[in-house]
Amino acid sequence: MKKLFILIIVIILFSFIFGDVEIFSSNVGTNIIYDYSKEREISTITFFFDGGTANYARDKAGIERFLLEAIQKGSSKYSESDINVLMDKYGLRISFENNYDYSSISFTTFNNYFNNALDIAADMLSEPLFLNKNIEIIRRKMIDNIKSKEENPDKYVWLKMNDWFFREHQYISLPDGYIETVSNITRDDLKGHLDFLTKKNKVLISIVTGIPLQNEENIIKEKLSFMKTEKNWKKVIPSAFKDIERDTVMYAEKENLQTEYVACKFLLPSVTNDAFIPARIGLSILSKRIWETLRTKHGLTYATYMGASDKKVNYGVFYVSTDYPDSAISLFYQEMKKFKKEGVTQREIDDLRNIYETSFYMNNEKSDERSFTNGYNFMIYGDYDHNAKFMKRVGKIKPKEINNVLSEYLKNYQFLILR
Amino acid sequence: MKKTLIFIFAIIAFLWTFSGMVILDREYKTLFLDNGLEVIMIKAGSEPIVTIEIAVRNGAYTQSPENCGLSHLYEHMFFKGNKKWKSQEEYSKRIRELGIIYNGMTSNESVRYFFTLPSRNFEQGMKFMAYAIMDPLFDSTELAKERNVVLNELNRDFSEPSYKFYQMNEETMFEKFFYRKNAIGDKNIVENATREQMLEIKDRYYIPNNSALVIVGDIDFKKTEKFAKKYFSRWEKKNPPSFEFEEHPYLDSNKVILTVQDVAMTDFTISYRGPDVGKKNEDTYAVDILTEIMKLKSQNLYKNLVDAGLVYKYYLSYYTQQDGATITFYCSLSAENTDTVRALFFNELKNMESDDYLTEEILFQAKEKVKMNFYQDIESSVDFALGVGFWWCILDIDYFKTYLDNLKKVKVSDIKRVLKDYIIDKPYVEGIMTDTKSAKKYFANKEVK
Repeated sequence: MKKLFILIIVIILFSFIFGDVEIFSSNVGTNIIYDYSKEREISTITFFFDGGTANYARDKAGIERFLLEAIQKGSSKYSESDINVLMDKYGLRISFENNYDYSSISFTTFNNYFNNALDIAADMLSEPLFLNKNIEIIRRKMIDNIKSKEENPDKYVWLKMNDWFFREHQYISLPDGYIETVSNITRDDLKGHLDFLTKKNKVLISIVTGIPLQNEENIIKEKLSFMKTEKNWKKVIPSAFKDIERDTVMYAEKENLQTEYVACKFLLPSVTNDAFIPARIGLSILSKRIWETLRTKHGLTYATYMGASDKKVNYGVFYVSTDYPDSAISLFYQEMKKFKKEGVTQREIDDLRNIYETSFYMNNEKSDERSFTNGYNFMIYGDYDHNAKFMKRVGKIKPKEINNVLSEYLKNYQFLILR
Repeated sequence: MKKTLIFIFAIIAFLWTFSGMVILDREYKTLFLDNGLEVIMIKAGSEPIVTIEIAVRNGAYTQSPENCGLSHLYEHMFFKGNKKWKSQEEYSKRIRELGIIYNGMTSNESVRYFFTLPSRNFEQGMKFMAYAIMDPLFDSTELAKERNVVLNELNRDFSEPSYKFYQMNEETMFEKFFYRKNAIGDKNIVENATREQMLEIKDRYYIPNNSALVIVGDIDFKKTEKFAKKYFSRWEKKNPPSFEFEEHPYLDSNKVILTVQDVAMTDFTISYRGPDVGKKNEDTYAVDILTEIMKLKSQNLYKNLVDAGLVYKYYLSYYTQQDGATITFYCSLSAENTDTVRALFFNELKNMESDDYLTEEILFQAKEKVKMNFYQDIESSVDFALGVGFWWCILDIDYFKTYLDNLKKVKVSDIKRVLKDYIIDKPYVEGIMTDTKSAKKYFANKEVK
């Protein structure tokens, strides 16, 4: 009796033990990250397409966004109207993102409807209808969306900055496209590009769910068997930015602004470079200092930050909205000078680790965020578990390492002031 | 042997399911401290973090013309020094030591502050929250700096066309007492805010019997209760504030506002006054279902507007409030489609009144959709806490707790009743924001604001 009781308790406890992450390949070599945890009620399936803007010529800018909108408008098995009905029924949420290094589309639903969502996603990606009527509706929407990007000063200041910073580089091609490129994308272009993405490009699938893998593995392999990676597929590595060996301050104007916006970029090591992590940690510490100086001590701004992008080709950023841009930029320089003289302290690194820890756990809570993060980390860093390893690295890094790396990169600031 | 097994399973099942009350399938517990502070504890999420939130019944609706914007400035001052961590530097240092991710938000009828931190620092987080909420210093130098920070926030908001448009719509709907809807506030009032005004808000609204302490995440009820008593019991109870307001006058006729901005897409809105919560709550559930039906992708409005390509996106929202709730139809579109979209919207409302249009099946779908949205929203412990705090402020925890059960009770006849009582043939505010060229071409007969 006692043994039986213990056995029951062990079984119950076992069923409570954490979930796990497994990576497996479909029959045709597509990588699938499967992150299972018993407590999850909601599942997300995210498809990542490696490459982003580097996947296509500039005269096709916007094509991946166009595509990810168009596939949602009906497939061989599910008409547009069927998809609408099923999205309501399953609480299915579809979101997508187009970026410089990748494009992605996510399907989020309750565990009960996981297989239904998978079936819809597979059908959308393998046999979309691309009806001309829908293509024209999406085209109009995209063109108006491109025009409207200039309305928001926060977006506009970075658009203008990117025109300068990304010139002569693949990233100059906007993931959302341009009026002239979106106007000329045809149904055949969309079909051809989808074929390229699902049969020649590298696809990565990141799943976060409350359903154990053994229940789903065969179903996933079967549903996604249409995806292939060309044998001689090579990872797209964009070229390095050209350095501008001086600081630059540029101006742009916009009507009806009540305050001014300062955007700044400078070069950083790429994410695959060993210097990247010290640079990222150092810039997070500098971001805190910038916030305290510009906002807390001087009351110059509501919004300011500094940080590292995590792109395959990389840059650092500084941003502030303020009525006093000259004072804000002057304080920025003082902080950079102070850093070069004094560096960061171990205390600052320890504090940062505490904040990273909380945000790491917060990010794990939501299935869609975790699905995106696992996939993103795999695409960009080659390791779905990058965040956990990054936290361990923060725990071990010493101020000297950060100071050495950042001292080399904190220079040649490119400013743009929108007023 | 068989009996013993059944007995063991029964005990386990009992312990498993009955270790507390349940809210949205999560265990929860509430208690009142002697000073009137309501403590709401919810075990949620599988990560080792906790969100500690203080929700206060304050915000735009408690403002007068003389202090319009100060609820929001007060919220900023919460993150400055207090009796224990005196300067902003000390305060920020403590935030980093405890690994706190934080924010504050001022709405029309609530002000909420949250700290999310690792559960191992939970007790220290409770202590930190207690000092921040009970003992702010409102140092004059800090106040002067923070006024500028808030002014920059205000300037940023008003640099965005969509924010200006939203404010104009609100001002038209609630013209007489707009200051009770204007959380961001008046520039001059913020510029001249004093320490005394901050203390006045503190004395009137920041009292335990006008606040709730909401804790969501990896918690143990006993310990949480102990820490709540230990750190929040000294918060002094005072006379509760009065929330009796002169009602916002209803529109006596339709109003149209046309605003011309540097925009590429046209924004079009139609807003009605909705049922105020706390008066006829059954209407609030019915309006939530009504707006959900009109958003369903399988229904005619979506097909006629989105699938047909007439609008880029649209939504219907019911902003549940005590002091002037609104029901809003919003869409983003090409200016030339505005008249067609308006006609389709009104036509849909008319159709909904007919006997065979609203079926039990549609009603069921809408209820399921609201339920699914709810569960998706509470996946994150911060969002869960903020949701609880919001509903507690606008009415009470029971409204939140019984919300899905009350939705189940809504019938087709309830939908028709609220359509009749709040929407059909009722005055509304029509808002259009467009560019100069479209204003001349499509809206020449309307007066530009």
